[in-house]
Amino acid sequence: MLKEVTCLCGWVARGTDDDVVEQLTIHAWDDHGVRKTREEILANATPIGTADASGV
Amino acid sequence: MANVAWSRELVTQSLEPLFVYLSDEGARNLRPIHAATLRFGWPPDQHPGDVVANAARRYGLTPLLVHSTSWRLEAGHVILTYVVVVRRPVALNENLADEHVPRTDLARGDAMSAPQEIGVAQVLEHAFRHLSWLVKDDDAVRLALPDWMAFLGTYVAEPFQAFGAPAG
Repeated sequence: MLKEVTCLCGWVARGTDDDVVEQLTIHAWDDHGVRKTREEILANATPIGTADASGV
Repeated sequence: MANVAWSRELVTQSLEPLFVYLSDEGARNLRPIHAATLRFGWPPDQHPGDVVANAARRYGLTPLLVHSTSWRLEAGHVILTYVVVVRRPVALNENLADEHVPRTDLARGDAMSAPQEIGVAQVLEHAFRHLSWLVKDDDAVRLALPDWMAFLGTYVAEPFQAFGAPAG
């Protein structure tokens, strides 16, 4: 399942659970100086589709 | 900004709330600091009006009215834009930038196609022109936006303006 997470600042991450957790973890620290847990990130993730052969 | 390419296989619509409030100098747009607009997926089990109102509350904003103002296709996906009128914030959330809403021409396509590009200011121009009609025609809108009456009165629809002034 692919998911999307939009940060309050407008920044968006899309991908698998692992993808969005990795992207948001980096973004939260680099741009906001805060650490987010995997659970916090995925709690705000919206399912947006299924993984497909394109590899996204 | 996203750093993962959008896939055409993703089956979703996006919501794009535009938070606006009325200041002494006119309308102000509260946009996210790291994007031109706020966008997020539309959960299929939720009403979009509720979703965008709740999005405003996440920033500590108080929504007064939500109105779906336009939609467009982008990379094969529907983006449904809402204008979310909020109460003038006492303190601005650190993730929002506070910007003046300028007057502008509408984005226009032709009879069978949408405009090639649509800017945020043009979306808001369209939204305010529509609200200027609704505050006169719709009791719910009038009751929700009593302070906006004079401001929206400056947005009287001008359907022939795009053709220019009469010759001679």
